[in-house]
Amino acid sequence: MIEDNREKRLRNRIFWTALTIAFMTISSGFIVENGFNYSLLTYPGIKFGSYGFQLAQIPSREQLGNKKLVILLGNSVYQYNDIPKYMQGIADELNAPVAFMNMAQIASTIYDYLAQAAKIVNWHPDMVVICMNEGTFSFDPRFKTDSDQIVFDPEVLKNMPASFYFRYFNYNTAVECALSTPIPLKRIDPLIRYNFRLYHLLPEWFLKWLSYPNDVNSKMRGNIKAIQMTQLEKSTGEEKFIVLREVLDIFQEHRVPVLFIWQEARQSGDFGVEYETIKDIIQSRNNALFADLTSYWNKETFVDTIHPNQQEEPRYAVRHYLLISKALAFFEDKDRKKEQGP
Amino acid sequence: MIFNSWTFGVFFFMVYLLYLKLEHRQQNVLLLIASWVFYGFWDYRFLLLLWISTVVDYSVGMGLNRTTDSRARRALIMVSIAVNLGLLGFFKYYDFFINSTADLLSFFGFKTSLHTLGIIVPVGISFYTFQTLGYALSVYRGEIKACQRFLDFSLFVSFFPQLVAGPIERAKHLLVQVQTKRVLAWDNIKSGLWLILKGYFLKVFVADNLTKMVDPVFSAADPQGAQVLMAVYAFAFQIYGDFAGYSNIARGISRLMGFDLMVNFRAPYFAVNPRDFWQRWHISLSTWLRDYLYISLGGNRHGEKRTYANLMVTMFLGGLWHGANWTYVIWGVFHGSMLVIHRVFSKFTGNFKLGMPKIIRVILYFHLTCLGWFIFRSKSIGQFIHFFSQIFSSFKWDLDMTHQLAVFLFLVIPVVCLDIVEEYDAGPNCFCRWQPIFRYAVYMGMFALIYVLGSRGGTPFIYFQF
Repeated sequence: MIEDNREKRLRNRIFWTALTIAFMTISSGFIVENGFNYSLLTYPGIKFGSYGFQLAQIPSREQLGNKKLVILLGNSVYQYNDIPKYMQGIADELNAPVAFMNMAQIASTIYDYLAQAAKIVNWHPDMVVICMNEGTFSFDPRFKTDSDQIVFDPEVLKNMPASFYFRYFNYNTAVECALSTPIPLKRIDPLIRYNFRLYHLLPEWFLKWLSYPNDVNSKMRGNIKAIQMTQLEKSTGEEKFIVLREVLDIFQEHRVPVLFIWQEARQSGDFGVEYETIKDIIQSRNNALFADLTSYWNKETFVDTIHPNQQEEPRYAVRHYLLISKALAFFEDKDRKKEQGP
Repeated sequence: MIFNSWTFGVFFFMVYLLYLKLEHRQQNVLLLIASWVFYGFWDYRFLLLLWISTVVDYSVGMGLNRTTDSRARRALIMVSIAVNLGLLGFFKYYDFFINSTADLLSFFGFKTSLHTLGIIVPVGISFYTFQTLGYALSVYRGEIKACQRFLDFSLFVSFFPQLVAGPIERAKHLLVQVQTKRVLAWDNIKSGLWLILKGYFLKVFVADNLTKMVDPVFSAADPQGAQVLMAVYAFAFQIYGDFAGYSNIARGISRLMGFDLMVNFRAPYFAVNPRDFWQRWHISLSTWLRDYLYISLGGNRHGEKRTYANLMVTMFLGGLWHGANWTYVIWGVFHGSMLVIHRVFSKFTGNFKLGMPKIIRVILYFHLTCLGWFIFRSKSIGQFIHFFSQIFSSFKWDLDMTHQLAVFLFLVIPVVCLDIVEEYDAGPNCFCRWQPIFRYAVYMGMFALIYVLGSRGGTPFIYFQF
């Protein structure tokens, strides 16, 4: 009897200790995540590191004043090549009432754009710009940013097509992704580890052999590439068109105009049919525009297949700025005509 | 769902909280459902195999309990053997035997049209079929009474901590714990937490980091000799960290629930001879093979030559148990030969010490073990021969190799230290008796290494494929 009571007491003690630890883990996760949040308005310019899409905080309408909110989704070119910074510079110089919010993340795919679109429509942007190239449609793995960690957040979930979840997750991968929502420590884990800044203590060759987030980008940029934690299997075929349609559906449902820019990038010959289909799908929507800038790519001013060199960056930015301004004017005009009636 | 994933962490946490609030019978129901959910996470269709194995061996056990007729008993045990080994043979070896037969026939000039089925090996099938088969054999031999409660037997087969990679438990050890009320004790909780910490340390910090030194080399066509050598040593510790890590976590989480699983590893690289090695490495399998195969074959009761043959057959099948590949078979034969050689020499030299101090014998035998791992890790016998010749034909030591060596030592020295303490102090739980200040320093150090330098992304355990 005494033994029984003693064991019961021990069980109770473990139960409550475990619950307390769980509570502390979850709540500290939210606190730490808040600490890592950063406003897209801070920075000389608007570039933010890929600390994760989740952590970027969009400014309120009051903070923006009368400026139009243009959200930029894209890949490493927007993220690292200072294009958004140049564009904002041009807008400020011209007194154009536009605020560019750079939410581009390295190597984004159409899957990332889907999750990101579902999140950003909640902020009612005046326009969204999406940069693409062939890599946007290569699904190996499908998610290349931290977007798979936000697809179960309520604010994203409510805007995502339900069929997407059934198509792409089994319950194993779904649970692994969904856990980031109640336990944010999971998705900010790479950032916390990176902030131990071991590269100050240990040589690069040493860390290279260990599982420490220390890629070249991290050191150069002083930040870390977001790491997706659930790599879904590679998939091909019609899927790219289905996901693209889902992206467009989200924007259409929330009446957000969207400009797709096929970046200045070297085109491989074997992407022709897909390219045409992608273009047709986009152009079939009345809230979407498609622009192709591939003809501006040349091997003298681009360091590789998509990244401009330093001398090309301002030109690149001007080109994009003009295109975005035209698109904004086009959608404004369209809205005005709609308001005036036939 | 693998131990080193967030999903498992949350799963176990929820199961454990409920477990603490339930009574014995309800705990068993909870654990059974949890075990099926855990296994179903890989592929719910695999559950069917688990259920077949459970139902067949439960029925065989009950049948054996009811009859004393030796013919009927033999027929019943044959059913268990046929079903368990049939499942194992079909899912694990069918394609291998078809491919090997086709290769053999084409070697002799015959054209064949044998087709493989591309079967996916259900995770853990080698472990739970051996566990249930062991139960049926024990009942048949009269070592234990058959389990009357289907629920208890199902839990014995499916118990999630050890379901997919062991330890392969014996009914007389685990089933008894399922059937009787388990009592939680503070000492068990402490040692359980220690085992969990040590398990994650071995897996996430040691084994997964060593992968970077191993996998690229064994995927390369023509690696340098020095790289091969480093990869072999790294693999020796990778597989140890990986498998012992799993076993420790399994034992640790079982202890938190009041279960005591058998020790599966006991500082294996301190072995001084093959016999010693197999008393330290994957103990649950080696003792299973000894009790149910080696002894059934006659063990050492029929003269020296028969003993050698029995050793070879046991180790051959032990090698094949690891998977459908000739490298595993050769690895088994290699260890079988070492056991035979050791036995032969021991007869002449007494205890085979040859006047060498223990440290020398440990180092020597470690290198023989590494040779075995070299065969084991190679993708094919051809690759093993080629890589082995590379060590002698293109050995270059450069700065990069020095860097690798430094990282290798950084990862391996803590493992060796842990093993030294366990070997020369007092067994696997000795840390719990240390002075708190040293103990907590060790805990914090290990935790920090796991957190900051441990791998992420849930790298699967090597033994899941076996």
